Amino acid sequence: MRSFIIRRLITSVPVILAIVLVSFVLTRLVPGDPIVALVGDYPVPPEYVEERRQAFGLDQPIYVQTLIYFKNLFLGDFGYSFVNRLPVMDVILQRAANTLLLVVPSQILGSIIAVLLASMAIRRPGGRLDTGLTSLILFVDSIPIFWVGQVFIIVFAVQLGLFPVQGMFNIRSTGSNVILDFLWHWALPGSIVSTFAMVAIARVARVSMIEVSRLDFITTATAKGLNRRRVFFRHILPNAMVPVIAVIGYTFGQALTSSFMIEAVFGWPGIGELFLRSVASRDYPVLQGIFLLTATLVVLSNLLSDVISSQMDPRIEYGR
Amino acid sequence: MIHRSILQGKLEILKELFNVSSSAGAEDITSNAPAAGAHNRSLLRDSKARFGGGLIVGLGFSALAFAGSASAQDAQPKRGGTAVFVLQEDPTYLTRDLTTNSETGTIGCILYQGLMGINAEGEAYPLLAKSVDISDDKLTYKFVLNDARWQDGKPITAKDVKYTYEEISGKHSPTFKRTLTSIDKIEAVSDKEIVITLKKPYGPILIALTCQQGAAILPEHVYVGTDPLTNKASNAEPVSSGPFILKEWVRGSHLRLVKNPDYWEQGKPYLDEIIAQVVPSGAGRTQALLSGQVDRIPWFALETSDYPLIERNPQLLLQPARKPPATDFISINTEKKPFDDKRVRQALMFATDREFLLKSAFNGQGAASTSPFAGGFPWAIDPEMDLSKMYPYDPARANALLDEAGVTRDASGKRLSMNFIIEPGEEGGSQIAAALKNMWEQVGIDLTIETIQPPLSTERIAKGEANIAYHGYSSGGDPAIGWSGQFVSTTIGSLRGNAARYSNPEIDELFTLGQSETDLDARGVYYKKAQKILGEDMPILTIHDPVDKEAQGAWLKGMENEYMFPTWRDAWVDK
Amino acid sequence: MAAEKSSRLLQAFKSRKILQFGLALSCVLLFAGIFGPSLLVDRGPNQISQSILAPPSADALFGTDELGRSVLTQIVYGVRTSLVVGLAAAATAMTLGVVMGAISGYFGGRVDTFVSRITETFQVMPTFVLAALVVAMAGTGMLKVIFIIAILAWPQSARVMRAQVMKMKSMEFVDALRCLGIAEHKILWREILPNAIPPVIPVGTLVIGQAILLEASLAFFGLTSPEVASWGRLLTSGQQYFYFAWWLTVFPGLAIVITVLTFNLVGDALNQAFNPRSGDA
Repeated sequence: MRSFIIRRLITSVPVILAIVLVSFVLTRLVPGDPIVALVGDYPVPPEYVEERRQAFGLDQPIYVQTLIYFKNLFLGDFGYSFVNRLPVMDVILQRAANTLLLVVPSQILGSIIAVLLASMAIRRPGGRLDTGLTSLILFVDSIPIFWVGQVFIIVFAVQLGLFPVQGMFNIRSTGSNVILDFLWHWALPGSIVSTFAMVAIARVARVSMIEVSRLDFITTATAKGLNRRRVFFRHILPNAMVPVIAVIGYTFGQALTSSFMIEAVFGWPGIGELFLRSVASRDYPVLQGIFLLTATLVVLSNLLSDVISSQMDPRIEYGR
Repeated sequence: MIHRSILQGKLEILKELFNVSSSAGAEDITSNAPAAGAHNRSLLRDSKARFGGGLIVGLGFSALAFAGSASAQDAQPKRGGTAVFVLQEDPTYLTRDLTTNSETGTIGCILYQGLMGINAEGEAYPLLAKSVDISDDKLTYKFVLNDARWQDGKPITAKDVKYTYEEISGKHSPTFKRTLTSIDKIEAVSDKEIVITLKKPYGPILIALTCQQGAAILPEHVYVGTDPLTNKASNAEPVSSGPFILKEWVRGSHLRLVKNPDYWEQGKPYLDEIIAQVVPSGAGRTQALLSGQVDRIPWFALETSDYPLIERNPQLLLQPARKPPATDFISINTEKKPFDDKRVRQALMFATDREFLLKSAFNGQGAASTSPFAGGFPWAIDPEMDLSKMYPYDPARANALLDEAGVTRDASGKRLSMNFIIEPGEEGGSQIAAALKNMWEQVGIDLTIETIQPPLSTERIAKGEANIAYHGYSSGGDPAIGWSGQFVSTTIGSLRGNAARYSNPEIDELFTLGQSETDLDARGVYYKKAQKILGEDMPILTIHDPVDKEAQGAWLKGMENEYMFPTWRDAWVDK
Repeated sequence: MAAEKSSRLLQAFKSRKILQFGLALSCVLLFAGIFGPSLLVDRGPNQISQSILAPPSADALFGTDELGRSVLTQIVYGVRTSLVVGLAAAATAMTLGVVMGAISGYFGGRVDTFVSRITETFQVMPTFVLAALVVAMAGTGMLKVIFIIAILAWPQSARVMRAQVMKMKSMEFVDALRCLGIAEHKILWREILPNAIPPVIPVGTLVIGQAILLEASLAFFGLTSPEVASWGRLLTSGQQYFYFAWWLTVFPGLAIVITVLTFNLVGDALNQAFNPRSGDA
């Protein structure tokens, strides 16, 4: 078991290195002096520019620069955002909690509903419910999530006045109202992110449940005349849960992106909203920081879900 | 908006020079002046005798005016409560001395105070200074400080003032840097007395010593030996002395300011706390006010498209912000062919439907300018002149003029192609660009729109790399600086200067004459003459006189004597 | 069993209907993209007019924006942008995917490991964040957008291609060819490739939809050049007029949904035709 985790950890290393390499290549995309990519388009003191130029060895050959870039990032030097007057990681981490408040409950809610729907749908593959679910998956896959946000705002907030148009909380609320007020603000963006998360998970959950139900031992169990419900809860669900758990981790990146876009539409003070503003002010250090953080989070959530599902599934061999 | 505030400073400064003397005939001011705290009254009475010349008269009159309307105020301020206002984004710094960023001004001028404050009429009054003593030759200004303390308990001393001016504002504030050039020396005579000696008389000096002008006093003991730009006090943990102190700053969310228990003005402030909530989207800010979640939207954070929504609501007040007038215009690079020919420039004006721009890009707010100078200074505007009559929207005439100037169409009907620089943050900019592209297509001009961020945009425009560019400038309170920078040849090539690169000795002369006089009518003569020439020459197309408005709940009281960035000292909530 | 068989038949029948429907819709879209603009009476998507923020009416079916420009006209011009980006990106991604997948699957060993690592890495990249970052840093432009989408999307088809090639290279006829002494690369390019490609086509079709969505998202975040008509940018301007002009938001969004849905339907139907077992894209 432990050796599996270690092995899995080791395979994550090249991926992380590749992400950093991509991030380094990105700094070369900005036309002109690459220092612009490291300090942003915002006016900065010339001393800082010089300091950065030195720190990143921009006068050295390219392979040395690459190494220095790696070294700096691993030492935690993500640069300084002059737009925000703070070190890049501070800027991003201050927003991270708000993004997680949106994305984590949505991912949980989404997975629960996804498993429920998928398990009901596969009782009769091709039946009404199953067709409904697959159509929903296809349909949701075709919608820009930010547009759903806009339409919800127009319908539920502006026209019907049921929910707030923007924001995460009412700064005035106190005590127990804080939670109610938060839920009221969360309702629209949260339900959208949940739905998109649900769809991403249901797609895999449905297929893997169908596959499991076709496995020999299940067919045998059914043939033996065992209660369908029993078969489902005893055999299908536990076995299907393994890939489902994995997919919950694997779709976390997608959920993050959904959340970023929804934040931009709802003025939710998270990383996505920061991303939007940093794009507008060409604050490259922050943009790169968000990229690195998001990509690393995705790698970690993949890792975590692999570890969890490996513990659940006896068939996964550790070590090998 | 950003560059408006950059200019603000330079312009504001001259304002005093001319406006103060004008307010000697201050009957209007007396009747209109809003309420001010009692402290102003007594302070100014004390020091009145020691003031000299026209300057004193101006300040004296307005002081009396405050007294009058203060008593007219019906309700007694209620104590306690919280007021919330919105910002578009986090402030960059927490002190106005380092930047002209509007969010910083809004927060910074609550936290930190200048020796002088600025009232609703745009006039200076002693704030952190108890009194001002001006020598007869108007070269020496002696300030006696109030008995105020920093939030860490240390007293505010003359040394703080000297250090701030010399080491912080004088080095970092775009506005105060200029002020410092007219100052000969700054001496801390005693703990509470500071003497500023000028190189030569400089009327606007008192306005220049306000927080709005980047001269808020900062604590020497916190800043000494550090870089103000990275000092924590500048961007995270201020040590301030204003009516409210920063309790909490959750970036991207809000700043919570609480009542300063040791605030030096007796009995103030009335509110327990004020919260600045960051709401990035315009719709979100408006909604927050409509639903009563917030009490106020400052002028720079309120979308013109949302004015009608606020006007419709009887609980809310929508009013023009108290700030210097501004202008939105398009500069034409007069050095590039064929724009060196004034007929071509006139043709562009004929090809521009300014009424449409007003209706669309500006949501019908403000007015289409009647003269090359935007409105705001009636004494300097020629009432006879009306650009809308001189240059009605008439593509046919534009075509005729272009033909006449020899700018002919090629086989595809195109006369010329050129770039048009806009800045993404400028309100209405992208709409104007899209509309102009369309309007000018009809006269055979092909625009390539370049959306460029400041400061890159500013530099490129200053270098003359734009054929056409869209700008918003602030007057800073007087045409002598605000408007002159657009036209006089000395500002060619400087940032936010004469973007049209227009050079006309006659205009230079008229502007010089215009600022050398003090009598407004006399000055008006020169400016009116200049407008005639400019209206003919058309180095810039004045598009729009903006009216920036601010919105607040009717329940929020005591904001009547604030200017540009409220101090909230007199604010209270009537709910 | 019988029930399941009939249901599968039904499914196949349904999916053929869907395929036909989807193909018909894509033809309509192609037609609109190519001829639409010239059929409109207006002078172009930027034609301003005095009716500002007018709600949908007989004059302007989908209403007008803040400069009085017809939303319908802008949407029709946007079809072209979306289709060009979608098709070009998908074609590039598929070509890349087929080549990489084929190499990886056929040669196996280290090459395979290397290519697989690359695909894995690309799969963890947060697509939108990376695309937005590239465009923000390198500048806007349709070619750049196409290129970046292709770069991010090719692993999907590479995976399918690799599996196909691996399956086929162990087939008997390949061994037979090898015995005949035909060069490896000839076997790969002439024999295996043509047979392995069909199952990749549905994946490529799905990329069209993803690319259109991604282009719209980038434009929505302000990452598009103002010269190009884009549905995403229309949605950005709608954001400012929630209170006044719902039509600025509703119609461009519907255009995106219908277009993307069309290609997804086709892709899904093709997928069921080519890969009947997977049931999954």
